[in-house]
Amino acid sequence: MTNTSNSLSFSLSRVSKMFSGSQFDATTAFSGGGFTSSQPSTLNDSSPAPSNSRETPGLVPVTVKQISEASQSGDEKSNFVINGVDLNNVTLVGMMFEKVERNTDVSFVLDDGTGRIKCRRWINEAFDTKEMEAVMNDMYVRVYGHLKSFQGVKQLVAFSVRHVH
Amino acid sequence: MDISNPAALVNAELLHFYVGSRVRVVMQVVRSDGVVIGKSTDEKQLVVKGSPPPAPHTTYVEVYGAEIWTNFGDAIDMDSYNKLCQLANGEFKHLFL
Repeated sequence: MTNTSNSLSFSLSRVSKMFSGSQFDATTAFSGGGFTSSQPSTLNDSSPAPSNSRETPGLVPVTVKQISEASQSGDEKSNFVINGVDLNNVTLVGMMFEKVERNTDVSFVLDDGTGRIKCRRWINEAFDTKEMEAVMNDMYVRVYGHLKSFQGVKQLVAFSVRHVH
Repeated sequence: MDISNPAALVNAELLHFYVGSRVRVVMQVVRSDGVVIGKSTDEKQLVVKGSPPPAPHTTYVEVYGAEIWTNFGDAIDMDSYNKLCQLANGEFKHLFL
């Protein structure tokens, strides 16, 4: 777990510097080190979005509690809004439970201490199967995915699930 | 999605706020015979009633609600974790609970 601790301490020092003092730094700090290649403090700087002229953050670290509080912006778009910011792609760290493997997909529940969210990983190719075989119940994983609402229930469509060391 | 049972991130000092509800604590294992004695990230002693997993465990362990034990390795930054507990229960509580 040293990697997580290192990125945690890095994030914490950023929070204490408080160069923006807003919630989004906290979000970065508490998601197991939001030092992914996408910009952690994206939501304060104007990050260039290559395809749209709108400023949409690339990847946002969140907690399940934040997702549960997110509202949807409009019926057709089905974009989720957290703290006034549109978000699509999110990353979470949590413990995996109830992993169920099927032919076309693998579903599991992710528990990050603030809540539990159902996740689903579609199996399209061998790589997907391999990645999901490497993770098991009661294991801490980092999930990258897309928020979706299904019959009123928020779910996560994951495109990457990896064990946290 | 279920947020009815959040587990707070605590150290020994914050633990007494959450008596009766679920918490998760990372601690350094000092002794384990029947009852596990550990040292929390803020240098205080913790007693955990419950059984650690039979597999050999590392120096640092996370206990989640006294049922799930996760090995955390032999070298973690206790200071960072301690600050995280304080922040998670203070300023940024709304993100967690």
